[in-house]
Amino acid sequence: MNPYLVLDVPPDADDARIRRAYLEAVKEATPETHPVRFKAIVAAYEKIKDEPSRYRYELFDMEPPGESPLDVFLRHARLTAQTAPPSFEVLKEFLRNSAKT
Amino acid sequence: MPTQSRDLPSSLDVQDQRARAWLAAGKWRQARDALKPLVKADRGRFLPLLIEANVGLARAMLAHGQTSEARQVLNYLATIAPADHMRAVELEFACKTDSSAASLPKLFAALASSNPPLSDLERVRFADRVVLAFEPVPAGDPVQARLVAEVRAIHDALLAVSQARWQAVSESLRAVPHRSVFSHWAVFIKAMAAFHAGETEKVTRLLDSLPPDSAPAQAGRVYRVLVERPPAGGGAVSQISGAVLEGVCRLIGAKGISATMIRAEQQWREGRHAESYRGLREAVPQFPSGGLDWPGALSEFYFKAPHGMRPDEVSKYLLFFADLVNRDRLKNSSETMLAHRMFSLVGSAFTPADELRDDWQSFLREHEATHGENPRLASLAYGWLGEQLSLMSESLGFFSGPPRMRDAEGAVETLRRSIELDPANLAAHLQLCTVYGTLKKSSERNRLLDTMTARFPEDKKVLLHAAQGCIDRKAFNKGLDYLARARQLDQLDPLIPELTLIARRRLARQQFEQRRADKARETLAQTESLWTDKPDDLQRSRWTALIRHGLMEQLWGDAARSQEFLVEARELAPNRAAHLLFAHLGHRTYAKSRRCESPFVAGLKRTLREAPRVGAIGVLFRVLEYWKKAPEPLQTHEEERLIGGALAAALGRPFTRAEAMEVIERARGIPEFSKSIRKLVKKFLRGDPLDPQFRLWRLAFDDVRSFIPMANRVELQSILDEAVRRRDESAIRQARQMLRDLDRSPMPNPVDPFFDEDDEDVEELDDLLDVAGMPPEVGAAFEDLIETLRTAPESLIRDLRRKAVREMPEFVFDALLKAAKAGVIPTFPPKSRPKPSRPGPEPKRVTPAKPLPDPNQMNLF
Repeated sequence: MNPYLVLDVPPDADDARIRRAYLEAVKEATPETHPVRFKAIVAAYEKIKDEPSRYRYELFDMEPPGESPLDVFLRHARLTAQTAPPSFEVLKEFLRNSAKT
Repeated sequence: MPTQSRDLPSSLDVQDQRARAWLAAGKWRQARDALKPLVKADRGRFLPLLIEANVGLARAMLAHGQTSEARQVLNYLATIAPADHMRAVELEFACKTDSSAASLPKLFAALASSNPPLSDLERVRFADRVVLAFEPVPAGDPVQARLVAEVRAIHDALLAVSQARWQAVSESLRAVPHRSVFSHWAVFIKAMAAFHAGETEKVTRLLDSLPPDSAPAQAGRVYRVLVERPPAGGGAVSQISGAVLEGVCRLIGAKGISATMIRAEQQWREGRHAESYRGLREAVPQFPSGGLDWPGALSEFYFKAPHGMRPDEVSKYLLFFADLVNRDRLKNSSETMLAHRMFSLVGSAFTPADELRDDWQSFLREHEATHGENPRLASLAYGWLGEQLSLMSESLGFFSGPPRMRDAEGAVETLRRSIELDPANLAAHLQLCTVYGTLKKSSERNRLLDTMTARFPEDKKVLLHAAQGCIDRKAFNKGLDYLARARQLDQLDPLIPELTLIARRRLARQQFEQRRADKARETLAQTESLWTDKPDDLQRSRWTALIRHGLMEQLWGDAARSQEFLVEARELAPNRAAHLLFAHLGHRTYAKSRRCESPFVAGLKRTLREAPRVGAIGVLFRVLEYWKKAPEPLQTHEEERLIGGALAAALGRPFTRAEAMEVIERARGIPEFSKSIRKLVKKFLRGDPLDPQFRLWRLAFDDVRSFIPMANRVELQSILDEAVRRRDESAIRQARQMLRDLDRSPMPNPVDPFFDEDDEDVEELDDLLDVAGMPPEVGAAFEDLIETLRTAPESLIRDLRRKAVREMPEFVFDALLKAAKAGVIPTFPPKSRPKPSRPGPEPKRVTPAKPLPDPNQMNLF
C-alpha cells in the first residue's frame, strides 16, 4: 500500500512529521496486538523516512499495491475508511441506502 | 364437503406444492394466484398462506414505490385478514406515504404498545425506520419517552462515530439497554467503533449477532468486506455483490463507481488489462492521478502491475500506453509521468539505452513542470540510469565474445550528470568509480576518488574505495592512512584488516625488490597481528602468510630464514599438496615466471602421484582459483593438468558428499576437468541416485540446461520434489530457477508470429542476433552456416542440428534454417532495426565487478 496512506501523512510531509506519525502508529498497532499492521507500518516508514527514500519511492518503487483493481480499491477503502470515519451526512446516506438493498 | 377435506385431489396437491415454492422464493404474485383456488378448496389450510402472499406482495410494491397498487392489495387484504395482521403492514404503508412527522408517532406507538404484540421481524423493521428517519420526535407517554431517548442516544452515537469521538460513542450507547428494540443498532455502532480501532475479530463477532433482515445487518455486509480479505484468485468479484460494493464506495466518497469497478475487475481477471485501464480512464475524470485518493491508488496499481505480468502480457499492455504517447493522447500530467516511469522501469535491462534515457528525461520534464525543479530527485534518476547503462551483458557462448558494458559512454555521462545535479549523491559517485574501474580508466578513477574523499571524508565505503585505489597504484602509505581512518569509523568490519594486510604485504614486496630487506621485514612484522588461524582463509591464514614471507626471503632476502618460514608453514597447511601448490604458484607470481617452473614443482608432482583423496583436491582447487584471480594472473594449464590427473586417480578412493561438492563447485567451469567431474557425479549418483543436487549437475553437464526438452521438465520437477523432501534449500532454489528459466526460454511457439510471418523473418532474425550481442567476427560463421543450410540435404541438416551446433539454441537454428530456405541472408553484423515494441522478458544480467571483492580474490602482494 501507499506508505503515505499507511502512515496517514500528506505527500509533502517532512522527516519529523513522518517520524511522529510512525511512532504514533506503532504505539497503537504493536507487534503483539496487530502484527500485520505493525509490519505494514514499519515497511511504509522505511520507504519514506527521509528525503532520499521518498525520492527513491517516487522514482523506482515497483511493488503493486494489490493483486487486482478491486483488491486495490478495497485495500484503499479499508485503510481510508478505517482511519477517517465518514461525515455524519455520508453515514446517514450510507445507512439509508444499505437498508434499501 | 370438499372444503373440509384434508385429502386434496392430485391436481390441487401439485398446485399446493407450486404455491409454497413461490412463497419460499418471494414470488408473491404467482403464489397469490396459485393460492386463490386452493383457498376455495380448503380455506382453513390455505387462507394464512394467501394472507402471507398478499402481505409480501404489498411490501414488495411499497419497496418499489408502487403505493397505489399496494393500497389495492391492502384493501383486498382487509377483507380476508384479521385486523392485527393488518396493523403492521398498514403502518409500513403509512411510513411510505405519510411524512416522517406523521408516520413516526405511529411507529413509536406501535413499538411502545404490547397489544397486539409485534413479531420480532416487525419490531426490528419499525425500529430501523425510526432510527433511519434521523428526525426528532416529541415524546408521548412515558414508554414512548423512553424509546425516544434511546433513539436519540443511537443518533448521538452515530454522530460521535462520524467525528471519531470514541469515548462519546460508549457514553451514548449506555442509554440503550440490552432489551431495547434498538439494541441491534447499539451492537452495530460498537462494530463500527471496533472497525475504526482495527479490531477486526470483534467487528465480525458483533456483526454476526445482528438480526439478519435488519438495516444494521445490511450495512454490516459492507463492513464485513472491509475487514475480511477477499479470497485470492478471482473470488473478489464473484463474492462481493454490486450493492455491497456500492456501500463501500459510498463510505469512501466514491458514490456510483461500483459498476465501473466491477467491470474493470472482470476485464483485468480475463487478461484484458489495457481495456480494464481504459474503462476506468474514460469513466473517472480524476483517473489517473498521483494523489492519495482511490483514483491515485488505482493509478499506482495500473502503472506498477506490469512488474508482475507475464512477458507477453507486458508487451500488449505497454503497447496501449505507447500508442497514447505516440498519438500525444495522454490524459494529464500524472498519466504522462506514470507512463514514462513505467516504460523506464519495466524490463529496463532490455529497453534500448536511448529509449531508456528518453523516458527518464520525459518523466523529469513533466515532473519539473508539475512540481518545480528538483535536482536531487533528478540526480537519483540519472544515477539509476547510469547504473542500468553500466550493466554488463552476459556472455552467450556461441554468439558473443566477452561481456560488454551496455553503454559505457552513456553510463559515464549520466553518472557525471547525476553528480553535477547533486554532489552529495554518494551512490552515483560509487557507481561511477566502479564504471571507471571496469573500463580501466585509472586516472579518472583516481581523480574521482580524491574528490570523493574530500566530499565524504567520514564515509567508510569511500575510504575503502580510496584505499583500494591507492593499493592498485602502489601508493601504499596513503592507502594505509585511509584504512586507518576507516578503522576509526568501524572497528568490526573484517574488510579493513584484510585490506591493511594486503597493503602492508605489497609494500614489503616493493621494499624487498628495492633491496631494503630490513625495512621490508619490519613491514611484514606489522602484519602478524592480522593473521588468523583459519586455514581456509588463504588471504589471512598463518600458513599462507608464512609461505609468502618465505618466498620473499628466498627471492630477495635470506635463504635460511626462508627455509624456516616454509617449514613452519608446512606444519600448519591443510595438506602437503596444498602447501606445495601455494608455494609453487606464489613463487611463479613473485618471480614473474610464465612457465610451470619453481623449486616446488618437483615435490608437487611427486605428492600428486600419491593419489590424494577428493577432499584434499578440493583445497587444491581453492588455491588454484585464488592465484588465478591475482592481479598478475598466471597461465595454469600445466598445474590444472596435474590436478586433473590426481582427481581422476582420487575417484577410486572413497569420498564424502561435501568433498565431492566442493570439487564440483570449483572445477566445473574448467574444461580440463569436465570428464572427471562427470565421472564424480555419476559415481556419487550410483550410491544415492535421488540426490537432488547431483541430479541437477547431471542435467547441467549434459549441456541441455537452457534448451531442455519437455522430458527434462519432468526430471526437474522430480528433482524439486526430492529437494523439498530433503529440505535441500540450495537445490530447491536452483531447480525452481531452472524451471522458471524453462518457462521463459524462447522455445519455438506455434502461435508466435515470429515463426509464422515469413516476410518478417529477416528483421526478426536481426533482432535476435542483435539482442544476443554478437561480435562481428561471428557474423561470418553465421553466413557460412546459412549458406550451407540453403543447399544442404535433409540428412545433413539433421546432422548439423544434432552435432555441429550443439551450443546453439534450437529456435535460433530454426530461424536460420527458415531464412536460408527463403533465400534471404541477413546482413552481418546486424543492421539497425526499427524501435522494438516495449520489452519482453528481462535478459540475464551481471553487474560489473565490485571494486572491493572478497579479499581472497584481491590484490595479494
